[in-house]
Amino acid sequence: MTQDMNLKPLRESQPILIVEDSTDDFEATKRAFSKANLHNPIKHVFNGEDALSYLRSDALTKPGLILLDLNMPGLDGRKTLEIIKQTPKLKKIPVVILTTSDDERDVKACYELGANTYIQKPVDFDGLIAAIRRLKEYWFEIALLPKEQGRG
Amino acid sequence: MVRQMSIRSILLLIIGALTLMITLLAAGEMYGSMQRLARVTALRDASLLSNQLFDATERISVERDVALSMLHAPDPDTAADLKQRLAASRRAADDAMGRSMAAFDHYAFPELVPLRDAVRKHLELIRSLRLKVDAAADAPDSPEKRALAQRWSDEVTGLILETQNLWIGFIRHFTDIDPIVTQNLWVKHFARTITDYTGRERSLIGQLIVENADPTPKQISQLLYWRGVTEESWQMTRVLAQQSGLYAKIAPYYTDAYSHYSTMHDMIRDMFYVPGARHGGNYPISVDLWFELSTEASDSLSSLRGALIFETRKYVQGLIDDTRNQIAGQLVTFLIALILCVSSFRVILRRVIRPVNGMVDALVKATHGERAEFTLPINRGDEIGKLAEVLQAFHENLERIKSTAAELDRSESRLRAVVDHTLDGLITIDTKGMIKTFNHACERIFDYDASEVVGRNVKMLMPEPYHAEHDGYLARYKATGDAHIIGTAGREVTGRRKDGSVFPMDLSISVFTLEDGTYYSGIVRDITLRKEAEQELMGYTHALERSNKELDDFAYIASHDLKEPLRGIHNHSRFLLEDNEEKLDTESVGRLNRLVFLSQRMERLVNDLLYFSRLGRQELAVQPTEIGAVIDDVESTLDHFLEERSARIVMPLALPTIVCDKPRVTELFRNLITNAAKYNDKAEKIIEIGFLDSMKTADGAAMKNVFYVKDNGLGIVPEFHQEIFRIFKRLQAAQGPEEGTGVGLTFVKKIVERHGGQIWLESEPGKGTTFYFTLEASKNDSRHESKAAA
Repeated sequence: MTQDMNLKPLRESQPILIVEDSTDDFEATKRAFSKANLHNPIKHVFNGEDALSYLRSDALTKPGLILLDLNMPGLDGRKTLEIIKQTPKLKKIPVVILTTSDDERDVKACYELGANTYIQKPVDFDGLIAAIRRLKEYWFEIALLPKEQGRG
Repeated sequence: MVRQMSIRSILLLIIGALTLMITLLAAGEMYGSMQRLARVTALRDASLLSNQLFDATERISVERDVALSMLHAPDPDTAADLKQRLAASRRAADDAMGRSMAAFDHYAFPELVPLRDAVRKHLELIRSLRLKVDAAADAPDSPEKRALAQRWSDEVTGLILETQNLWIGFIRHFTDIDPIVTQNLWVKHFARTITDYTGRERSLIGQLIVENADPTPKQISQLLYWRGVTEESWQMTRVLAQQSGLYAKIAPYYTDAYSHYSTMHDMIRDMFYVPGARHGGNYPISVDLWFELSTEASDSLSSLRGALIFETRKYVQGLIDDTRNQIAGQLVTFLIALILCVSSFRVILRRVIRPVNGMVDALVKATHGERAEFTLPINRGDEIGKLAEVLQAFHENLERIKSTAAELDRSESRLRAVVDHTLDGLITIDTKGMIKTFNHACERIFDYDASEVVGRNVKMLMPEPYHAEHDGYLARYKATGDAHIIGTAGREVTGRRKDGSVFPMDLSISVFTLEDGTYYSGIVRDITLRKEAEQELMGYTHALERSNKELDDFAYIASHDLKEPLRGIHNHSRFLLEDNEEKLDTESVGRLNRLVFLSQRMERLVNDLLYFSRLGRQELAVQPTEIGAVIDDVESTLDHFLEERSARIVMPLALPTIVCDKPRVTELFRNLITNAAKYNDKAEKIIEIGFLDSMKTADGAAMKNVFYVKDNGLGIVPEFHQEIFRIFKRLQAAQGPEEGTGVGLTFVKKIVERHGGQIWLESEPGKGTTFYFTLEASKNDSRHESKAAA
């Protein structure tokens, strides 16, 4: 019963952190969000360092989901993922890898580092919308998350 | 049967021996008979000679008497008359004496020599006296003449005695041949003695009658002596003749001769044997009558002697004939025995000795390695036949052994040639490590001459630590059978050359056991060059791997980095369309849509490129895979696609289970099936999938374990049979956004090649295409029947 009380799917109020160096890709993702009727607040950072400093800042509400690109200048996605999943306060935040690569090595490495989902960025925009839609279905309707998650 | 046959051989031998004995005995008998014949013949000759000698002495005594009569002749007329007779009697005496003495010369009895010489000397003396007798013939009576007459008479008598001595000496050599003949000879001797002494008596009495003189006392005693001798001789003649059985045959002659002698003697007995009986006046007997009487007596005596000679000759001839007959009989016996003996020995020779000799010879020759040309007496059934069969079997075995040995020799020399000319070194050692053989290649590899190493320990060819440890290895293997290297396909070790330099070599050792012990044979290969080549190759491989890695990385990075701007172009086009569709004219909208389409297509190309690079880069994950199930899987995923095109898959036979990378092989079949359905204008599109154990390609190469995917589609013209496997090569223009990029067959080829296989096709435009391929990864795996699928 307690568990039921504590575990709930992601809510629309919870912000989603998008770590993406490409403004083009960020725009596409943002559009796909709205096409997919995903209306959570979005926080966009351009690299790993920014993402971590954002996540570590106590003042802010913790994001309910992180979309993480892998190939970025500076601290790249892999390293960022590793740090998030090794940080006790952050490791429970679901991390969705959204990247161009579909290389098995990347996929495998990300799951080993603790990634929760791995999505390859399709070139085709419709594909992206479909991917985001499925993402939404899963994280907002199927997966249960700890209660305190997403609260500051 | 066998024993009987051998008994026959033994009987033959006995008969042979018996007949041989008989032959030898007969030959001995015959030799004895021939010797006897020779002796009897000699006896006959001796008898004839003694007859001649008696004849000669008689003739001499006749000469003596005639000469005496002439010397005492009362008147010259009588003397002249007697002189005529004397000449005749002299010739007869010389003739007979000469012949006898010549005959004696044929006998070489040494003791005869002085006797013969004495006779000859006396003959000489007689001849000289003859001259004196002749000279004195016409001379008047005188004391000298009387003395000459006396001397003549004595000397002739002496000669006769000498001849008698010669005869006795001669006849002694023949007395042991036949007692009867000997006896008869004595009979003749006595008969001759009678003749001699009656002759003397006749002569003296004749002289007394002619001279009409009284006999002197000396003459009387002489006459009496002669008479005694004569009388004794008559007795001896008869007794001896009776003893020898001769008498019966000569009795009439003897009786006649003896009665003549007795009559004559009775007539004159009173006149000459009694001193002073005549009492003056003439003798009552004329000289003519006296000579007539004495001639009659002499003639009858001659008849007796003739009968004696005849009978003796007949007897001796009978002896000779008997002996000859005996010899003839013995000769016949001998010849028959000889023939029997020879023929039985011939049989023995043919049936026993020659086969045995032949076999012995064949065996001896066989022992010396020669081939004996000899017909074996087989199929005889006796021991010799059996022996021959054994010998033949032995011969055949020997021939077989010889040919086997020759074959072995050839094979040995072939082997030796192979061993000597093989490029690999071959060393044989015993369990102590001593080198037994060292071939040419070894000499080259180790730079040692075979003579330098054979008999020495093999560790001389090893550097440390093997050099020190090798004895230990051998001892351990011998004790425990624990081997590091024996029986392995080959192992890299290091060897040491004569100059001490060390080199890498490949060594495989096997153990084998011969009658005289266990040996190890090592095949040695100097792999210095191979090692260098390997090093070089490894360098190339590393370089190639690096290059491949770089290429893969390049493909990965390129495709990844290409995608991002591509996505940008795509999105911007989309957003432009979304945001400003109402502001844009139709042409601009068309172009933007075209941009969207092209960017999508380019994404697929990049993805294919990426996949292709991954196919080459990633390791195969092989597992036993049921190909039938793979097809079923592909069929179900392409269900809609196939149905839409009225295409169906047929599998006439069950497909095997092979070891392969299942996802890749699935990909392979999916591509081929897709192509087969896609490039097909037939109303009913049939895709046949199968497997062939072996087949021949169009250009005649034999292939094994071949899969095929056959369609009844458009077909491919020959000039494109290679082209179609090129990446992004398409034979038809893309018809729409769903059209492939033209990489399917490139992937298929890559997957086949990654499995170590080959792919080729046979096609007839308008009729269809068959893709054949092999997946070598499956080659050595046992195939399993999978469930049949239609």
